[in-house]
Amino acid sequence: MPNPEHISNGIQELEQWLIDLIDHGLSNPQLNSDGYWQHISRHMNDAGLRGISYSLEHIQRLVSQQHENSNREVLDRLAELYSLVCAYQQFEKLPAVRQADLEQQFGFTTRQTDLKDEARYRDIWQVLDISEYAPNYVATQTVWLQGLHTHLYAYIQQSAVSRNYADTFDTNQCYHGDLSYYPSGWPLRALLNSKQRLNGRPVHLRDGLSIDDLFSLSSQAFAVQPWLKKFPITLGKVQLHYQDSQPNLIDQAGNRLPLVYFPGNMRYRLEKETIDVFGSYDGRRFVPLVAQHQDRLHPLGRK
Amino acid sequence: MDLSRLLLSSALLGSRRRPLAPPNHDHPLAELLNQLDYGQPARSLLVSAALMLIYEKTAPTGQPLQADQGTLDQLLENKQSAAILDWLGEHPPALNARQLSRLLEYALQDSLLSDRLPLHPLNQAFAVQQPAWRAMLLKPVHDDPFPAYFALQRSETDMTNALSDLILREYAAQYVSSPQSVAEGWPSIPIDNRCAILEALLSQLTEHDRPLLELALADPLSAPIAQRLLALLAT
Repeated sequence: MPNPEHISNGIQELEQWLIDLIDHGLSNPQLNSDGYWQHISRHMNDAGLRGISYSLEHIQRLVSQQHENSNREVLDRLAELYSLVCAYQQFEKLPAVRQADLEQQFGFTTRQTDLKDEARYRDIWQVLDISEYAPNYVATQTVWLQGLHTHLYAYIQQSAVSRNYADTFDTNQCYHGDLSYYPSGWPLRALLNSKQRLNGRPVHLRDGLSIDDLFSLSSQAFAVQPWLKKFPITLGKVQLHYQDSQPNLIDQAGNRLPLVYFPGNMRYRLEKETIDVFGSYDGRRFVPLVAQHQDRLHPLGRK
Repeated sequence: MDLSRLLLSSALLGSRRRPLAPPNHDHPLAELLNQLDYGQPARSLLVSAALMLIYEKTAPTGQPLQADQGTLDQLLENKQSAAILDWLGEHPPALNARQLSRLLEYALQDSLLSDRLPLHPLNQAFAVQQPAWRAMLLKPVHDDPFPAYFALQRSETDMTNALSDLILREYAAQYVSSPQSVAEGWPSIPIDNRCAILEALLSQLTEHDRPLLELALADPLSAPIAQRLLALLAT
C-alpha cells in the first residue's frame, strides 16, 4: 500500500485537475497536448495511484481518436474518476468490498498471500480468451476463464517485463486448479493455484443467454460494482447482421446489440449464421471476444 | 434537448462558459439532480455525469428495470447535494429485496425441476458472481457434506423453503470451510436451521462433527437430535 499522505495529496490534485478541466471544457485545445496528460498521469503514478494513471492515459487516447462518440466517452471516464475521488473522501464509511474495489481502481496491489483465506473453487477452467496490452516494455495479459462445473467466470491479470509472465496459459486449453477471487462487489479477478494443464480437452462456450439477460444481469453487476468495466457473458443462438457497416448481434427474440467491432475476416464466415458469442460489456458497449459456430471456436478479440 | 446532450454540451464548452442548469423535465434523475449545488458548476456537472452513467448502466433500456428499482430508489431518495458520495457509501453491495425474490423465483423453478440448486443458466450466471450466494456452489473444493438435505426438502417448494434451502447451503459451505466459525455462531442460527443442519449431518457423520454435536447438546431444542447423532457416532 502506498504512503497514505501521498495518496491523499494525489486525490486532492486529481480533484482540482478534473474541476479545472471541466471548467475550461473538453474543447479546450490544451487537451490535445501530450504534456497536459503526461503531467497529471506522472503525478498520479508518483502518488502510488497507478490505476488512475492508466485511466488518464486511456482518456488521452480517447481524446486523440476524435471519433463520433469520443467526447461522450471522455466525459464518462472523467465522471468515473470523479466518483473515485468522492468515494475516497469517505473511504472509512464504505463497505469492505467497495473499499476493495476502490483500491483495485487505484491500482493497489493485493498480495497473493492475502487471498489465502478466500474461498477456493476447484474446477476445470477453460481458457476463453487471452489478450495483451503492452504500451511499453511492461506488458499486461488478461486471461478469461470459465469453470466447467461451477460455471464461474474469472480473469487472471498479470504484468511482466518483456512478456515473461509468471504463469502461462494457452488459448483453447483447459486447466485443473483451485481458483480464488480478489475481494470485490462482483468478483472476477482471480488467481489460479495448483494449475495442471489438461491436454486434449475441448473448450466450448456454454450458458448462452439472451440480450435481455445481458442487460438484466449486467445492470445488477454495475449496481454492486459501479466501476466494473468488463462484465463477462456468453450470448447464445445469436446472428451477426450488418446495418450500414455497423455489426450487430440479433438474438432469437429479435433484440439487437450493436458491437464495437467485428473482425472483417470473420464476417464472411459467420454473418447470418447462428452462433454463440462470449464477450465483455461495459454498460454501453459489447466487445466480442470469441464466437462458436458448429462446435468450432473463432477468436474475435483485438490482441 | 435531453439530459445527456445538455451534459455533453456543457462539458464541451466548459462549465464556466455554459454552466449546467438544473434539469427541468421528466427525466428519472431530475428530482435528484435538482438537489445539487449548481453554485459549483464543474462539481455539479461531474456529479451529474457520474450519476447519469450509473443510471444508464443500471437501467440500460432507458426505463427503470424492475430488478433495478432498489438502486434507483436509493438514487432518487437521496436529497443530499453530494448525492453520489452518499450513494456510494450507503448502497449496500448485496441483493435488494426485488433481486432476492427474483433469485428465489429461479431457485424455486430449479428445485421443482431438479435435485440441485441452481441449474437455471440465468440463475447460475447471476448467483455465481455474488459473494453472498457463492456458497451455493462451493461443492468443488469439498464434497457436498449434506446430500441428504435436499432429499429432505424435496417435497417443500414454496418461497420460504427455497430461501431456507439457500441459507442452509450457505451454512453448510461455512461449516466445511470453518467448522469452528459455525460452532461459535451456533446460538445465533435460527433453531429450525440448527435442527436441519444437524439432521443433514446424518448422512456423513464423522468424529470431525463431535464438537458441534456437543455444543448442540446445550440447546434444549436441538439436544434430542444431537444426542441421537452422538449415539450413532459412538457405534
